[in-house]
Amino acid sequence: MRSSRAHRALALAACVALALVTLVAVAAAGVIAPASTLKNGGTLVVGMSAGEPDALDPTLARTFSGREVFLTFCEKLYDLNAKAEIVPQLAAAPPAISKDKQTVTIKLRKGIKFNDGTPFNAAAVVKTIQRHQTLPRSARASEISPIDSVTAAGNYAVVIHLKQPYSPLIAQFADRAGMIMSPAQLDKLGDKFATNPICVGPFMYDNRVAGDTITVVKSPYYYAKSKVHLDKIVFKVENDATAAAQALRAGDLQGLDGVASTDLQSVSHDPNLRILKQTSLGYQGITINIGNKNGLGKGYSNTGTLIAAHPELRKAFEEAIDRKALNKVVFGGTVLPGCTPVSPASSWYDPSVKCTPFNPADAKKLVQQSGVSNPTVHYMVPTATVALRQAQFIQAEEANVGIRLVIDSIDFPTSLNRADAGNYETFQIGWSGRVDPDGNIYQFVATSGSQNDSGYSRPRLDIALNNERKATTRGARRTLFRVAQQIILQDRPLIYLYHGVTRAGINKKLTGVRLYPDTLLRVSFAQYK
Amino acid sequence: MSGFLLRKAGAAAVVLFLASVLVFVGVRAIPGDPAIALGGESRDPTVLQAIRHKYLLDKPQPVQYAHWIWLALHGDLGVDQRELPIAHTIVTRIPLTLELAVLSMLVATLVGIPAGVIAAVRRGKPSDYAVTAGALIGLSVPHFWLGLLFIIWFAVDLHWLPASGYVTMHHPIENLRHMVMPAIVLGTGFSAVLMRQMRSSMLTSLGTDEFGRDTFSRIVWGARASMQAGFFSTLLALAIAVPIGMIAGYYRGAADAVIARLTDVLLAFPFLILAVGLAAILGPSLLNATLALGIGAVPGLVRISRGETLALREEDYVPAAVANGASDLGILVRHILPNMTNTLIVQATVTIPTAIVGEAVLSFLGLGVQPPTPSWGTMLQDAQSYLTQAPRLAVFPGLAIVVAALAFNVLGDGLRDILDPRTRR
Repeated sequence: MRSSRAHRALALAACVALALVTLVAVAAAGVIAPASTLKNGGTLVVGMSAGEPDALDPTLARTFSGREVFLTFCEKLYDLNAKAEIVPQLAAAPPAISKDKQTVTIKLRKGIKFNDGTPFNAAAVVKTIQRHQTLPRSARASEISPIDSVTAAGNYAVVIHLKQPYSPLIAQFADRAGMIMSPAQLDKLGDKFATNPICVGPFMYDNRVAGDTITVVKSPYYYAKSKVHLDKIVFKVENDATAAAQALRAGDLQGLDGVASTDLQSVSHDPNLRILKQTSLGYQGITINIGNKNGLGKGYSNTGTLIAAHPELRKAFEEAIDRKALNKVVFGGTVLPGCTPVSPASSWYDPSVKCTPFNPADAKKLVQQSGVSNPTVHYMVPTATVALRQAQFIQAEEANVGIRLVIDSIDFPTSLNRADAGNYETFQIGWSGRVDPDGNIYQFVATSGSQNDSGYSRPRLDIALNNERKATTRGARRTLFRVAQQIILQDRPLIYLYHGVTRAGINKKLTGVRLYPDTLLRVSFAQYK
Repeated sequence: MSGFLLRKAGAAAVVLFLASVLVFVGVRAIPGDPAIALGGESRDPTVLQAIRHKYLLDKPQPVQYAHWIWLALHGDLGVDQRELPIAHTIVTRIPLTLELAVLSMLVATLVGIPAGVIAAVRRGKPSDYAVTAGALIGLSVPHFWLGLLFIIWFAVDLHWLPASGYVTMHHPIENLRHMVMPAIVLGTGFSAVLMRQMRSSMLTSLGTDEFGRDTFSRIVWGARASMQAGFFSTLLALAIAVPIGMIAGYYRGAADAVIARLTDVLLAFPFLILAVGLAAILGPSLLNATLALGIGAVPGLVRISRGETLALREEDYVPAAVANGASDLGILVRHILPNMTNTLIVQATVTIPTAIVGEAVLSFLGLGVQPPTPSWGTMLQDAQSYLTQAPRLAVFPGLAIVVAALAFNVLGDGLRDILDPRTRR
């Protein structure tokens, strides 16, 4: 008995030893033949930190990361430049707008091919826009809803008839609504276009592993092939920010489209990496439920909560928050404090709109004057580490002036659900931002706004916003946006706190990577040194 | 032989069916609108309605289930939000999942069993305590934290191993290099369990008688939430699972068949998935999180109690007690239960740290304590982002979990010495 026990113990020990030796050998094999940071043939691996793209179909796509991948294989009628101005890409020139502002003519570039070799022409543009309008589940339909009809005028011009004047239209064509899909591929795949999407682009779709990677390869059909240097780009989904930053440092990734503020130190001190910085077009703020009692679009009347019924409490709420301290404490100084829906990154930013300064003394006074003792406000926060950090900071600031904030942390989709249903008092939420300021304002605060979770209704504001949609000169629209922002900042259906700043981490061996105000990492024309 | 296989196959089919219904109903019971989750930033009602129509969310649940099971039986699991076929995605993942599971079990076994042998053979000596402490650390350290630490040491600092990714087995060396860290991280937790169980059963068979807030105040205050979640959930799980397991193991027959199948269904779900699902349905609060964690731990404990009872009812003193006119209840309580305490206590002291980390996950998902109330687990989650800047933020909550686990362990050893009739003199 004893000897067989000893035998077994010996055998076990031998197994452990063998396992350890194997482990060391495998690790050593890696050291002797080190993992190369450059894949064969110039492949770039980019980490996507903002979630995984959904369907790679311009009509159905709804994610930020999807827009980043589209940049490489699906060009648009218009695009952004470094100054957030709209410039032609597949179009040949800026659009021509008729006198009554309801007909828009777009001239197209000639001699371009889709990535299946078929020709790019007006018929293709018409087919794409009609698909955006009619496909069930189309996420673009509401973005281009003022379009009545679209026709081809010859091979290289399209004419768009609008139901009413709509200045933000061209900004929509600088995003997914303007991504033109190959008609041949649409005929072949129908609503399964996302399984093998073909557009015009420097790269073409190669394959996708769900939840992991999307691979695009250099296209032989692109009209400016000489500008394309990489053979292959692999977009990798990164779910954990810290792990992604470490993968960048380890060389597994050569680019990461967003480095979290907590990882900035280790990335910026790494001699092999550099940081690209860009303020976003969006904002982060607090939405206050003023009139949303029964849900979106079901009629708005004051909810009667303390914060809804007392405008001076909303003023106190805002005056209690020190935005500079918020930046420092919660974000390590990495965001841009702000108080308006239009970011300084936008060419429409208006510095003449005056903010409510940090004033806790006045806030305390207003709280006492309101006649409510120990006011309690419920604060809905989507569950995420950074969001909760910020919520606790706000809670402490409000406690300083006598407002008791109760934090309700809810998972993100449910929080959106509750916001739309009016089942909240205040909601910490932001908006990723659009090129045209209308895209940052209208749907949230116009009475007929599609995402007016605040239930806010001000006829004066509606007039200003409807007019900025009709106006075509920049000066007129600027004035109207100024008026609109002044009304919003006075009534506070939303309190704007800061604008995000994206910092992308890039390996120093890579050049030609760009980051424009839409904060999408542009890698199509990058190359290794 | 074929009859045996057929019966087992039949039982498996029943389990699969029950599991599919449970998942189906459970997921739909969780609050939240999937159409909004899929609908993205702009929640256009027409788009939301079209999404609901495509995924049959506007039909009654039995219709949805029938539609799904009909297609599933034909191999069509539908498409996901990327428009990619789900069956294909699942099938392509199988080799990787199997490899990772086998490798991490290998690590757990190769480390846990010899460690348990050493600890048992050298019981009471320093090497026993060293090995036990090592096991507890492996058990108490959350995987996400350990994994990150490994990436920083071995991938970033030393450049020995890759930080992420997967290479198919066509390149065996590269494949193994990518598997080393995940297998070790996943194996540590289970190796600790194996070590404790091994030591305990060897001891029995060898005949010998197991933000500028003050971090310190948050650790002290966080003890409340973590202790409640860890201790009471385990107590609840034991109170529910042990009677059920004993009934199944003692009476066999129909009761055992039903209980065993139901347990199999629930065991198909990883502990955390079960706990998260339950907590989402019950609503966010520490009490509900404790309930969810307790119920989540029940299936595993039922299985263990049932196994122990099955073994113990064959001992000689059981028919002797029956001959003496003892009632079933008397036998269960006075003979079988005391002889199970050994294993149960070990399992309990292993479940408590798991429950503490489980509470962290629930709180992070907004299903447990609400901020700013601290718990060790949420402190650990928060500290994860600062790992490279301020590691101390993660060290102290982690240390607190380890110390608590050690304390419960020592308590368990003491309790076992007092309660186990075999070690009493």
